[in-house]
Amino acid sequence: MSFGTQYKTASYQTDTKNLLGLVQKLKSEFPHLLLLDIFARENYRGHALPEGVSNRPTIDFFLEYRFLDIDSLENINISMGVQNDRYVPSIAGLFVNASWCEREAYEMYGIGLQNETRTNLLTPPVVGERSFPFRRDKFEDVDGPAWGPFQMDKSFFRPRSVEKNAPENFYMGKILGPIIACPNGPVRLLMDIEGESIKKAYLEVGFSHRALEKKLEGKSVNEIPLYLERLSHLAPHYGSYLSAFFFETLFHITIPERAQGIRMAILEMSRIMSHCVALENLFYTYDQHLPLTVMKWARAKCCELFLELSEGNYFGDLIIVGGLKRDIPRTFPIKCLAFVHELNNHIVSVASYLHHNQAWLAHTQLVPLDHHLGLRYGVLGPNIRASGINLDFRKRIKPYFYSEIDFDIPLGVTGTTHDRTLIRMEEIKQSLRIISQVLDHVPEGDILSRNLNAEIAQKMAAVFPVDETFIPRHRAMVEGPEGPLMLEIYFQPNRLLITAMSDLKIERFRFLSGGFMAAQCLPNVLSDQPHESALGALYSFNINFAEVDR
Amino acid sequence: MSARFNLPIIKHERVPALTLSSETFLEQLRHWSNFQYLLPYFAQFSCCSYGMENLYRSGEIEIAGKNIFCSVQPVSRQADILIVGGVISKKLSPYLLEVYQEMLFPRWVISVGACASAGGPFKSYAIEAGLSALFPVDVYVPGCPPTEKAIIEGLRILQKRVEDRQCSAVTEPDMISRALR
Ligand code: SF4
Repeated sequence: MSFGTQYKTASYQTDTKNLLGLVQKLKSEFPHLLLLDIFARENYRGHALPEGVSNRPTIDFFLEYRFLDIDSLENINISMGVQNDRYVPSIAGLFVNASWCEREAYEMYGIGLQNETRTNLLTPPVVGERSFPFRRDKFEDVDGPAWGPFQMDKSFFRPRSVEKNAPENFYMGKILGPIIACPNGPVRLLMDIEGESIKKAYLEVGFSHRALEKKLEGKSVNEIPLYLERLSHLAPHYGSYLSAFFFETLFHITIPERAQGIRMAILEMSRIMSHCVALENLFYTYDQHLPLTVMKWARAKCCELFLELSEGNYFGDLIIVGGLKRDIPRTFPIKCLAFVHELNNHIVSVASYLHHNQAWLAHTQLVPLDHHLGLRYGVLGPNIRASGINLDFRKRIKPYFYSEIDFDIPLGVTGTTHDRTLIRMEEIKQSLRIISQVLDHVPEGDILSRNLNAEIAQKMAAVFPVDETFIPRHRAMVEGPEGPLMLEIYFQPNRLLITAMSDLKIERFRFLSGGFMAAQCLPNVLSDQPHESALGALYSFNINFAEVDR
Repeated sequence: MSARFNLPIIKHERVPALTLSSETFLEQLRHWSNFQYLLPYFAQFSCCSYGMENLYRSGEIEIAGKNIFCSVQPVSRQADILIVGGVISKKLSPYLLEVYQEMLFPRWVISVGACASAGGPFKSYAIEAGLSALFPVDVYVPGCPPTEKAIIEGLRILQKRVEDRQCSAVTEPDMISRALR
């Protein structure tokens, strides 16, 4: 379920002049190169200069590019130094999904990228001079970040088509949101409609932007799981798993076999919960009451099982670095297996019900995601598998016991809403298969590595040397229920020797999920489709907008 | 034989009694309907939707020990109780205000979870520090996230307060007198 870090990594340093050439060369070298992420960070070494020293470094920011070659699973990192008042070429011409990432870099740090958009992605539009919330005081003369209370831009509520002679004037406008997609988060879908079909669609995100990356700056790493669990609330255990996995790969910790088995069961249950949300939303939209009842029951049952495991809180922080927080109760496997058996039967009957339901088929065999388009936008997870691309990192990397377990990767054909629904149901069935095989053979033993603290303290000196100029960094990526979840942290340089994890301080925190790219792709998929199918398509992608906005 | 004519029996102490003043009668009837018929609307945003999701989809909510009618409304225009849960960002708050302004009079607000009540763990430059900055809030339900039971308990408390006239309901001024005119 984890990939990326244990594979080859190639790193490049470049500057603004040579960026486009380098990216072009890489693209021709690796035919299946995916752009995973672009993010900016400040040049902190320059920031640490004492007051009064005027020789500012020539580099103010770094732009970091992260690519993945999906054939060899090789990571390619590009780092580029940028000056505050210089423009940077945009790579959106080569990788279309760079556009949102670059907009974010502009919005948060004010890095001038030469792409056409200057609209806000995550924060609300503000009248007057722009301020860039992620910048430190280095470029600002005022104390603290200059942000809010602000005046709303008057054109905020105005439809775009009030401009004279704009082509949108000839289309009818339709706006959905922002309070739709209830468990997934607020989002706004704006559509230009001609007759029945959508001419152009826009997705407005950022309604649950909470500046997590800024908030965690300078904080201890112990706080990460608390926030990540709440961020990926559709499958909360993936949040805590990501942060645990991050430190396990950083310190090369092997977790006990019992913990591995239980982790697999918990994560697969979480995956089921996430799929249930998408299916619930879809069946609710298309008035399929019988399947809706099944999905509601399944999610409530999963919640109940998790509440028992984590002693009464939905976000129980079950998965911690080195293993598990607490062992499962003796009765848990029996209850869980009974649930698995029952849900399996229900899923089979729901699938056959939908297969013969003409009303359902007529409404949902629409909005196909072309697999070329999907890959260009970096859509991963079940959404791309519904279009027929066989890409599941559980099968390719085989972490934990996945190599010893028998399960299949379901694939769709056309990538319509109907296909995405069936893929999710089939994945639930496969997850049930995995759970039943794992729970039968969970070995006895510890749930937490012995001598964990001593092991970490011993490795800390090697990973975090006492050096005021060295900025340690690490990156981890896991295969979540809706594509990859990525975490990258730049740590603060050490002045003293540290031995405990709680002493580690974060300098730059970066989290991104696969939903970010899927959300970027969605407006393209919707064009020339009937406008009634828009909401169903939005639900069928199951994007967690809390993760998109962060 | 004359047919027996049964009067409907309403089991409640505060049935609007007949009065000579129509204004008092209408006021009492209105008050009775306020606490007897709850029309909540759910606006749930992020992680707090865990506990609210099932309530929102359930159509009707049963409050234990109370013989009242509580039906979840699909749109805010038909609702008089707004139940808000989740992270309220500054980008979202104008829309939430719009939702609030569309609601029926008199109206009440229940804030669910730490974030909606006071900013919560994610408090930062992009987050509203509590719903009370936007509009008056009547009941705060604690928790991160609160359970389904806690939300129903919040509804029960609000109902009790409305019944005892302890809630300063946001009422449209002299609506009754305008209706009488
Ligand atoms: S109160 Fe807790 S669960 Fe609710 S939205 Fe805030 S962080 Fe999420």
